[in-house]
Amino acid sequence: MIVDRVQLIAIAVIVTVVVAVGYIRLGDRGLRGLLPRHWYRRSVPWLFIGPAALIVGLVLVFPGISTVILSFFDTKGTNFIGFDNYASALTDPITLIALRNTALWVALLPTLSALVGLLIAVLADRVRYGGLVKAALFLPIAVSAVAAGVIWTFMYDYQPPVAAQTGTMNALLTVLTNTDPIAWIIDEATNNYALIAATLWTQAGFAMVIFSAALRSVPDELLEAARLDGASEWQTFRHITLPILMPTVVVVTTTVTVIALKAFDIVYVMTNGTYGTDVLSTVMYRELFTARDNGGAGAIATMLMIAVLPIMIYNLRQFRREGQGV
Amino acid sequence: MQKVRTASAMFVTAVLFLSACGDAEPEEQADDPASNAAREAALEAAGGEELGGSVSMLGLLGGEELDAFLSVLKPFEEATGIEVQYEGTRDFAAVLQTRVEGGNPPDVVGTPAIGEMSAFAEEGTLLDLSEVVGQDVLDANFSPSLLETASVNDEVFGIFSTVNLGGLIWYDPSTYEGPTEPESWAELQTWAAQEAADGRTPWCVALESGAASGWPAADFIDEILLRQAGPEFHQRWAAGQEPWTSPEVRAAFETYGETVTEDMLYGGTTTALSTNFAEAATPMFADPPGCSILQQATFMGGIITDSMPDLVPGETLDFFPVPDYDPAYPGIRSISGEIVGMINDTEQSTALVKYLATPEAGTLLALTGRWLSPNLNVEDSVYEDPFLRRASEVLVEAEGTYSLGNSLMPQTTVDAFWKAGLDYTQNPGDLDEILATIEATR
Amino acid sequence: MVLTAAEIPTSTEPRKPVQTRARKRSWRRPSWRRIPVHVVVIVVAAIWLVPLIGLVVSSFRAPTDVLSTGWWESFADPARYTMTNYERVLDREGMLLSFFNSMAIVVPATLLVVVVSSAAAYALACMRFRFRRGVLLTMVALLIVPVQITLVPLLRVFNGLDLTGSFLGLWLVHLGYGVPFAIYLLHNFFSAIPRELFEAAEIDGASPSQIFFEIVLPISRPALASLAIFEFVWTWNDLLTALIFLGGFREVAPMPVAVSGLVASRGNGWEVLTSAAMLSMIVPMVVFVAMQKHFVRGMLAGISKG
Repeated sequence: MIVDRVQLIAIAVIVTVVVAVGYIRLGDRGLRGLLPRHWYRRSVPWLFIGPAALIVGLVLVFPGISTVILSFFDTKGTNFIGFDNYASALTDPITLIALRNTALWVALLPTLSALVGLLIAVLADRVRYGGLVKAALFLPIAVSAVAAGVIWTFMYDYQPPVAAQTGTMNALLTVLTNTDPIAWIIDEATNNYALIAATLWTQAGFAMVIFSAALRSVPDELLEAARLDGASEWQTFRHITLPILMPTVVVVTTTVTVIALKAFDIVYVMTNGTYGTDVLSTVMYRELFTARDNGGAGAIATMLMIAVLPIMIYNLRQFRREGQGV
Repeated sequence: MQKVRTASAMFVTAVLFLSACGDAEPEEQADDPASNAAREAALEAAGGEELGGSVSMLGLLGGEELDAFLSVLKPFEEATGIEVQYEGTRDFAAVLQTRVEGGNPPDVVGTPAIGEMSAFAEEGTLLDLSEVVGQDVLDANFSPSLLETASVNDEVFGIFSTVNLGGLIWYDPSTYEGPTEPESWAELQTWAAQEAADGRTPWCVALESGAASGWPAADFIDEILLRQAGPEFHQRWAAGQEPWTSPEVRAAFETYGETVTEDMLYGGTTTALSTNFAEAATPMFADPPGCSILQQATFMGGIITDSMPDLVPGETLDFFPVPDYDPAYPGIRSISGEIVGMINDTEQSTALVKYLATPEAGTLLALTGRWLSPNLNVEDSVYEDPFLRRASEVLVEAEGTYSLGNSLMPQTTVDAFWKAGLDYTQNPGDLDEILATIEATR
Repeated sequence: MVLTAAEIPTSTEPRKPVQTRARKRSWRRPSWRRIPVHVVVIVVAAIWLVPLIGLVVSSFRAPTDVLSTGWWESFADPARYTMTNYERVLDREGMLLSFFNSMAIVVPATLLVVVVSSAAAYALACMRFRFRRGVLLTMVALLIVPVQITLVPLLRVFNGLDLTGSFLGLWLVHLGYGVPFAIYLLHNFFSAIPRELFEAAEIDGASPSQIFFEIVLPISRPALASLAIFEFVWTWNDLLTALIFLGGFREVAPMPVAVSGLVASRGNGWEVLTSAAMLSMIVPMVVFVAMQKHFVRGMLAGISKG
């Protein structure tokens, strides 16, 4: 059986590479041979985009559209009810809490992830053990959501004030400040931040890896010139490195914002939305699989998808700006 | 870099070696009377021939309980040549629903969420087992109340595979000084109140359980309602005919509330809410004990002994059934359990379901020491686990046995009930609001 | 800034990795000035490592110990460490197979994502055509589609195509999920490649596919490496999609599914999750380390973007 799997991997890899290279090379040559120049130039991009468009159309666009359509129908999808699902979602107290929480996630997670990621991507290169530091930030990405849930449930563990603390956070708290331990996950003043912190732990490494790769394309000559001119590290960073990195900053913050909007795994595993920690995805999950209400779930999914529009508009401006340099 | 590569290679080799060692033992058929009998029953269930093929089963079991359940299925596989492909997942509802709506449902399902299954049964997804297995076979092996619980519109959609007896008070006989055979709930709670007044915290309560947090409180309140307001009210309430805001339900919550006041609980309510239910008994065995009594079902015995294998049943761990709440309803017991249902009508799935309905399969199940068998023909003497044997006796002596209401309700209401358990423990003053919230899910 | 022909590098050798350059620069700065950098870096690394250290230590402790004392206290009594958690995971029938099932899912899926997305990102970043911005924006907007709503529609289609329960079906699903982010990331890197390189190549008569294979891909090694790392890790840790499209039976179950089967339905037995998480982290770590060699300064280091 194991041999079957190894064979499968080998075959899949070989076939993918051969077919991909063949498709591009032969497709290109074929189009060039068959079509007059003008048509060739107009169709060759679609040769490259084709496979991606097809797969994404099937896996994402088709379900996305059917979800939006279903959001205007009732639970079983049989009767058209217009905006009723949206109305009930927006007046439901739990959904409102979820909206508030999701907004909190969107406000905190992307900025903090980008900051920490950028900080370490830049600074780790300056110290000899930088590789180890980067690995330390990367490791949490490799941890599954369930495992992260286990880890952080223990980090936030609560024991009565008289007993010894078994959770790292409470141990630090009681030792350093001599106050009572906090039930981080139950206390509504702290629990959302606790969950966001656990997710930040898994996301900062993501930002760092991307910034690390982007930093490689900042030209040395510019940096040297700036230093020779007497610019300080901070000035060099702010006026040379950062502007070059801006597009990457947009990519990182956009991606982590979408992750924040869709945040589900850690919340589901650690609290499942209890104690006021619901986010839009947990509410949608419950509508879909517990209440079995396709319409209600569709409404929340659609609201989620609409929430990304402002970010997309900002990205569009970014793309336009790039286009001018082309 | 080279060192990392070498180290990784060595590690992977080590892992391969270790795992290979684990898989190396050849399989032998168990040769004891129970297994032999089960194999015969399995062959009969398959219609007398080795059908071969496979049947897919979706359930929630994992870890050691899954091993136990699979050991019950082993004689079936050996005798009929049918491979049972079990998929266990805690995302059971999501996976089942997606597969059913997506068009490739599992052949057989096993779950304690009877209310959820009745929704599927009403849609026609679950088959009528009285036709698959035969009404006479069902009647011969299962009590009418069990059959009725898993029926809708007179069609039996599930047969119980495992049963847990609820409403037991677990305690450590070597340190417990309260009543071990109290006449009434009032007597037990009076003792508890006295303990609290003396500065000790008698009740062990732990409600955290991941996505299902709050279920121990819900189960407790459920049983209180059953035995305080009586089975008829309980049945109407479970079926949605009595509102959550009615005075009987209120009273049940308040009775539960007596056990979770700040001074009753080890570490106060915050600790109860933060601690995982499997650790509820841990303070009982500390020195000095942090709490003395824990209300939980039969499976708790296995959980406690799994994490503390040095305990001796009868000497350092024992239980007594929760005494009556109301003299008008004596001897009522609550049960919960898993049902097995069938979605795809194949020869293999029919054989499996028929097998699970036999007393032989029930006997094997009882021998695992994890559950009670719902099968009427499994005798008490079969239970080797002392807790299960006593629980079986309690069941036999009961005036009436009823399923917990929350396993019968639609999942949204159940979720709200669990959450209400948490909310009420945290804020007993908000009871009216809490009850109204659950009612709104109906 | 106009590039002269002399400035376009002709060799494809990567420059020396930046660590060497950093060391060279440091002689200019007195070492006490570097202390803030060290402090910040070490503090952040420590914060990020503490939960992991907790995990490592807990994976070698019995569950009763984990629940009664904090992991930092376990150093005082090393005799209590135990390999039981690891034994339970490794002895479990089917664990080794699940590792290979995971590899059989993740490796082709990652490769597919990289291949399909790099081609599409190349066209979106380096070619001009009508609808370019629309397609790009749609691709990026698709990042928001929640996985849960795609399950039932896709399953219906896959059932019709008889792809359920097959590895190919799961590869296609992961491909679909991964493409938006991959295109977004690669587009960002590809569009930083100076136009002049393309123009020079086109003057030389190179076709788009030649430019793609001989210029764009080699220059973009860091970007492709980062993408590969992420796709690998995300697919490696996936549970629900594999459960639905491939199935949870032992023959095909990947590691996350197999590991979740070690925990009982009410959550007891969680202690094996600590050792399982440790074991499961090894492969992504190896991939991460292996990809590091691609994080070299590309040829762009000597060229400035206009």
